Amino acid sequence: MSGFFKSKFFYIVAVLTLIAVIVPTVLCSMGLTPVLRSAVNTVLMPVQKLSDKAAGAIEGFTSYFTAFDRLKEENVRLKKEIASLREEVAGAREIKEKYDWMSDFLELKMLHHDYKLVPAVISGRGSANYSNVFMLDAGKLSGIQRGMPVVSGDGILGYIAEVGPTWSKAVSVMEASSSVGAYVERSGAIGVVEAEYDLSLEGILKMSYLDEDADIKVGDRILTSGYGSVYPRSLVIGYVETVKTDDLTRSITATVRPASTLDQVSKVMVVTKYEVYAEEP
Amino acid sequence: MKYTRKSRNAIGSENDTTFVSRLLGKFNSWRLSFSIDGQAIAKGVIIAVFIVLFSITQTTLLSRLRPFGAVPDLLLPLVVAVAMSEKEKWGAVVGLISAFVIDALGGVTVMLLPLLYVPVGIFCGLLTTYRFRDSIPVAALFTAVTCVLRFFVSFLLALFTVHGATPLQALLDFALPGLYANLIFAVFPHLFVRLAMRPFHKTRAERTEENDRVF
Repeated sequence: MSGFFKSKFFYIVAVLTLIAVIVPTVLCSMGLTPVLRSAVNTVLMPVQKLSDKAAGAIEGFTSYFTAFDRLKEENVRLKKEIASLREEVAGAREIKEKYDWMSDFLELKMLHHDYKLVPAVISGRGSANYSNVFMLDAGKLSGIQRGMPVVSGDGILGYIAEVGPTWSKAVSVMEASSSVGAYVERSGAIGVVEAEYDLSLEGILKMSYLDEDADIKVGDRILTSGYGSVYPRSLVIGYVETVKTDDLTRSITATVRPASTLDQVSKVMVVTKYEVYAEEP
Repeated sequence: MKYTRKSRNAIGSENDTTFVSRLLGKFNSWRLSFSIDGQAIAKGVIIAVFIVLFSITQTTLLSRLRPFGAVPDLLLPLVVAVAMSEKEKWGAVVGLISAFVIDALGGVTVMLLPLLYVPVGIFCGLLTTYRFRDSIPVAALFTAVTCVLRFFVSFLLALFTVHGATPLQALLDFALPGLYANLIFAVFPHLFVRLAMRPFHKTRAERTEENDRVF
């Protein structure tokens, strides 16, 4: 065995090995590429490139199996992240809702300086499908009394019909028994907005008692006139959808789509105090 | 015009007077006790194909898949397999070429692999010639030992070349995964070399027959 280490072959191999270690290392550290190394790379590069493409395809196939554990972990992590983001979104939605409501509140307050508003949350709705009654979480202790109007930022909703210490019951304008004194904002034509059973099923109000020559068009905004004991003047009731003239009596009736409906709001305001204006529309 | 078929002589044989045979004759006259003949050229071509095949596989497919989180070294078991099959001189030459090729393709800047591959080729060849028989358990033993050597080399290289790697990180992230991958994937070079080199060796039955004739 020792004869091998004394042979010419061994010496040559040993020298070549040292050259193979030292020369490329030194040249690479100097930023140069050894010719032989460059030749090996040049010759084998096309094969390597081709093989790498094939390897890419194989990797794509095998990654389904090899990456299973990683994907499983990632899935668990992403699920947690989604749950956390959902919570954040719910929080943000709540904040936005609150902001919208506060904004409406502020707008209403800016338009009507004389109003004293008490915020309330709709805590329940009528137990029967024909009922247009809703419950509020504020009552006498908040200064709410029977007959006070309930409004949202968009318009009127109804009036307080029953009050308890910490709760109150309100009747919607869609209730067949209620009627509101109203006028057309554009022309000042006066009438009465009331609910009719047939129309209320479609969520529409009827405006009647308009003069023969009343100027009313589709799209006109209808406001409260302030006549009567419930609603203050200039609150939005809704928008005219159709106008009809009776051939016999020549009286005009219009249908009005309410600006605010119960299914759109969850927070409302009760107008506990307002100035009564003497001027007429 | 009449064409006559020239008789071809085996490369390196006495009657062969072509340029290649003269060149080989010159090489053999250097007395390296490493003669090149037709069979040696055939073996060389096969082993060269293996070197290219395994180095390409290692630097493309396996470097993407990273079994056990590491790229297995296929050329080290190839050197062991060749050294066991073709003895120490082939082991040394194949070790030197393999180390150079894999260093070149792998794009490393510190080339230390020849210092591992060449001694592995020499010692595996010498031990197979003088101490052990070329068998599967011996091949497994040699491979395991060389994989452990490779483990230490990987550990040192990771420690000194990967910026900011602690000894524990070098051990757990580089050396140990490399050891597992090398041990598992060493089967393939051994299998390929044994199958490819079988035609060049006498079978057990042939050896028994020869021995019977001698005695």
